[in-house]
Amino acid sequence: MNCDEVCSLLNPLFDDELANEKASELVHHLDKCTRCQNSWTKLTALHEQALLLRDKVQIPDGLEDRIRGRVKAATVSTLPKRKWQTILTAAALVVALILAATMFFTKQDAAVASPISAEDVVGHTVDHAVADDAKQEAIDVKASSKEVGCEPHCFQCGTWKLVEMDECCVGCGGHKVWHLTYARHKDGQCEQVTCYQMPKGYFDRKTLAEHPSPTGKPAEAVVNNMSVLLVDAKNKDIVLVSSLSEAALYPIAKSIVE
Amino acid sequence: MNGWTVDVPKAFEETAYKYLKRLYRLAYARLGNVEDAEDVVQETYLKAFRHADNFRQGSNIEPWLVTILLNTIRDHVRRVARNPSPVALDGLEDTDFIAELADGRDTPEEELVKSEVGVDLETALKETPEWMLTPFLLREFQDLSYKDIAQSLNLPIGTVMSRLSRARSFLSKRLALSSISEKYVSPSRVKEKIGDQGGAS
Repeated sequence: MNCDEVCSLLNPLFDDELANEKASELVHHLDKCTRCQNSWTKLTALHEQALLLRDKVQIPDGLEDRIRGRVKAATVSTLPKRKWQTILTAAALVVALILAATMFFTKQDAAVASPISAEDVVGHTVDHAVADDAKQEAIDVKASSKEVGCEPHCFQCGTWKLVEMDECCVGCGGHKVWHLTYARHKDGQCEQVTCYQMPKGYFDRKTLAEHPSPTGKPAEAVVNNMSVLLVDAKNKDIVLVSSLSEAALYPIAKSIVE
Repeated sequence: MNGWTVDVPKAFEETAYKYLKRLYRLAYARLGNVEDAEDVVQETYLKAFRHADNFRQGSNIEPWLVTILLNTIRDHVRRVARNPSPVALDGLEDTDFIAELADGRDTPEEELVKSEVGVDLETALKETPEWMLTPFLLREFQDLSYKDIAQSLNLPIGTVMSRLSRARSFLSKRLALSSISEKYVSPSRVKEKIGDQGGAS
């Protein structure tokens, strides 16, 4: 073996990823060749520094307890699938009922049928392609809204902007809430819908009391971390509390403005 | 039967927590600050437990957790990048990347190596491009095999090997390891030495 061949195999040798026979050949060469020994020594020196650094990193006190706390708060997510599906089915029915009632009382056009079905919600898992489409559509909505002078509105900051599934309200502080806001121009009116989602930070009753939501009545609704609030922007009220993924949430939110 | 009964997630949870320290170290090494590292690790566990159904029983849990962690880190970095500080933007405005490429000037990587040598490993890691940093950390911090690294990063093993090699070469230059005066220790003895220090705690 020549030095170039040996050098190309030094990393796998060091990482114990070479077959014994090949490894022996390399070791034989290394023990005699000063140039290759230098490369080998660099590998060992770097490894030793990496170990020192790795061991220097201390895990923060109580991290495991904090994670266990958050996991406990989101217990519903780890229930067995059958139970989970039952909950989602029930949630889907509630959604359908609420939507039907909303449409009836607001005297909306009867031709606009409820676009939400049980299939839209039950068993819906995070699908990145769907989520990306949803985001793209939100961007398109933003563009079309601009044309007619509508701008998506951030409830909590009170400013008009599209926040697109991002952490918002950094400006207004306190509210560690993710939400998607979008607007649509319909029949000469600007309509907005905001979906609130809280996957980040631990929301307990005390936190909520200190930072109430714009609707003023989320305490019961968002006490369970990982919940999703669907807010009807028109009535400024919460119409749904669920633990749906963003991909499942989007069509529901969309159905309210359509 | 998909295998997850009421009791199994509990066992799964406990197994997953065994890797907390290792995941945190990896997150810290990638992000360089305590708060962000804690955030992404918490997020990782929540995602893992929510999608426990997706984990194939009998396979190694660590690469699976590492994949979730790396995706979470990637999302976090993107979020931060979408809200860059004005200072960072000012810097970018003055940089003509296209001209650099066109006139064959050094890549930022090469310039960095030339700019300063002899920095400490923590500093050098922050300067290492992500595509070679992650394989390096998975090997050196997590002790993952090439196969597990390839699985975590969804890359062919050959690519993992070449990125790892590039990372080590880059870091050696940054740390000025060419000037080290350490004595050569034969591979067989190095393994004994690593065995004493290493271990994936």
